[in-house]
Amino acid sequence: MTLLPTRPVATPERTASTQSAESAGSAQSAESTQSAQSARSAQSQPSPRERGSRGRRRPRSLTIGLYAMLGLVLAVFAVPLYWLFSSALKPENEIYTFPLTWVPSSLEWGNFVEAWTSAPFGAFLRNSVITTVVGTALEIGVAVLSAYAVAFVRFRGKMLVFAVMVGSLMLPGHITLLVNYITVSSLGWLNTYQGLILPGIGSAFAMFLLYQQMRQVPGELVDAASIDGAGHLRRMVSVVGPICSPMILTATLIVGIGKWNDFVWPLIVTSTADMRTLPIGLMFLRSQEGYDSWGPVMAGTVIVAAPMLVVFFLAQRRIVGGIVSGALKG
Amino acid sequence: MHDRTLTRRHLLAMLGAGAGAAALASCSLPTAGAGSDAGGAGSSALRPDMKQAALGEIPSQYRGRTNILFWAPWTGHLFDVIAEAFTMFNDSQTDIYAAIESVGGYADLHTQFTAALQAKAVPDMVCFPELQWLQFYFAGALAPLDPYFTDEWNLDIYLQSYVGEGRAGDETYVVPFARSTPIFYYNKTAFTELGLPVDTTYTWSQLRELGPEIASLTSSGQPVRTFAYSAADGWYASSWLWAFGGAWTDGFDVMPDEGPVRDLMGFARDWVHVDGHAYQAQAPHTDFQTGLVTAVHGSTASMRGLTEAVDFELGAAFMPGEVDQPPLVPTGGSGFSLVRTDSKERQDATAELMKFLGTPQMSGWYHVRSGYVPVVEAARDEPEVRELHATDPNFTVAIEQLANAQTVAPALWFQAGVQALEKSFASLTGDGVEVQPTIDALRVELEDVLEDNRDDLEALGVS
Repeated sequence: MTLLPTRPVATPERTASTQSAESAGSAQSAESTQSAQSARSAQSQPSPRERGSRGRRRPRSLTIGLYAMLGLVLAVFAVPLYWLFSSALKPENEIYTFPLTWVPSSLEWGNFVEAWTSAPFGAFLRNSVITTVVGTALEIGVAVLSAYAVAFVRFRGKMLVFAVMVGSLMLPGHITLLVNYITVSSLGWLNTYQGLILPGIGSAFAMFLLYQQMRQVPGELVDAASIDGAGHLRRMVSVVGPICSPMILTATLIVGIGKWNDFVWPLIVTSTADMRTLPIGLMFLRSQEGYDSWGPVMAGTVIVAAPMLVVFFLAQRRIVGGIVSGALKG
Repeated sequence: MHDRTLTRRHLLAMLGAGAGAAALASCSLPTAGAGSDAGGAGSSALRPDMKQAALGEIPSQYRGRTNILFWAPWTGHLFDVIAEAFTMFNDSQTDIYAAIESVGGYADLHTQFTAALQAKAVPDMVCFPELQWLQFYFAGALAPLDPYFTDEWNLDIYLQSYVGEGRAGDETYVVPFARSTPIFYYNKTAFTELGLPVDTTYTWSQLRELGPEIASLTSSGQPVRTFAYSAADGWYASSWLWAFGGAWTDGFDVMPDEGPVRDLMGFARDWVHVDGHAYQAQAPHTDFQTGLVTAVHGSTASMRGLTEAVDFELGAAFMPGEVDQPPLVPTGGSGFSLVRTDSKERQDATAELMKFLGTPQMSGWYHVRSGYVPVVEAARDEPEVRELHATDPNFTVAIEQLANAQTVAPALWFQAGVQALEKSFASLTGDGVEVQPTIDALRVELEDVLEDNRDDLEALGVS
């Protein structure tokens, strides 16, 4: 949050600071009031070029400091990712070297081939996609319906139902794991898609998130719709749903990523390779006793991580945009 | 990864399998027994309520046979090797189809088998390391193998140092398979360059004296260290103390002689904190491979992978001695157990599979490809094994050291005991703590472990 406002200001400043790089002497004199002032003045000015040539800008020392911090924060997030992606393409011996090899000397696409062929990754991918898509759709469906019910439908004992559902948030997942496992096994669902998916679809978290958002929906809008003759389903689909869509998307992403990365439940509920999911497949690439060849392990990790990264980058614009548009109610 | 471990641990705690069971170390020791009242040595080898867990798709050429299922605690290369052996078995006869599914590592097998017993959907064969099978034996989950022994297939054909660990009372519950010992690996190229002795058995003191010479080499601008400890050396610590002429426990007596323990701990501490030629590494084998350190210890099962991973000549030697030279080494690795299920037919078929994998040919075949020791005595005379040993003497060293293999002290059959030991040495080599307080703290912990498991241990004849 704190870094965001600096962006429009800082971009033009870089040209200025490189122009007069000599006079970077008085580093420590920056005061926060001064910087706030210069930021404000910078925003009010029309053209970056003009701003750069006028004197009233943030002291260079502060700019450099901010950039250093920005770079540091970026590095904290980006370096592990870069290391993962580059290592997936490194020849075996360059993965371990110290000091680190940052740029692979040759691109070893064979790592991906080896990862893909040394375990049935095709089946893992299929199972991951099925469980994630179906599981997320069901979980969000349940969450939307129950959040709407709690937010807009009047019925006896509502607060009790709500309290129990939210209370289940406090219950660590490990507690229900064994009960779910025994239930699923006595239903004969071990090693099946329904066994993989169904126990995970009741989520108080997504429900609570959506409920909080639905409470913000203006009551007049819903009332107007009901005066027009819309039933609950119609009100939910046509009025509340669209207004809450950014939050629904956010919840979908969070739930989806959680399902994609889920490890323990798929591990114990499946027992044959053709029903396993990707995170377990990743484990199959590592050897237990003996020596790991990290190239294929890294390549496998990329195979597992990349789809979620792509989904996230595609969706994050909509989340931000959606939140803003939802905020302009009136 | 970290998160997963924690979650698994919680799961296990819940399943009542003992909190320490999640240890990922392949060479770990058993967790607390499930309670001696469970009556493992039940009269019948069958349990009508135990059905077979899900099989994957059966290849068409194997349809219509008796299907048996093995949950393998291996992944990666080791899984590929054992899967190939299963194919050989399936092709060798027409009555049995043996299915193999990887469940991850030993800790994952522990989790899933525990869960499977709850769900009453189990595999026909499992493979637990060292004495971890004991808790399942006490839970009545395993069937004795003795009725299946014949003149060709019985305990006498196996290396005797690995047989005792599979027995409870007068019955056999495990036959050895993927067994190992610790072994000492060194950078033979560097040792030769420096004119240091190679192809020999070292003593710890001798290695310590080599420190300054080895430090004359540099790697990435740092002086090369002699030896890398890790924070999880519990398995190796048995061999260390045997070298110094001591024992961790004798029956229920913890550290009967403190002298050797004091010598050993003082040695490790001083080597790191006085000389600076040894250190505690995050990943000793990675440092070894990149040349930061000239010697490490590891499982014999790492030999195949290490040989291919390093770009210098790999040397293998017996574990270093000291007072005793060469010292005893602890047994490691795992063996097959037969699960009590609802089907005698499947159990009989599973025994056939064990017989097949216990032939000298298959034992040798597996040894050559995996690096685990050839558990069947006669496997050493297999042509393939002889050829390997003629070309790579490191494998011969591993086999010759087998004569010194011995089961670890009872306190170290339990994960809690191993962890206490690891913690002690981690703080000695890491933080340089005082020796005597470390011994005193360790004594209390090991005594607790023995006391907590007194009933089970007495049932197994420990006194």
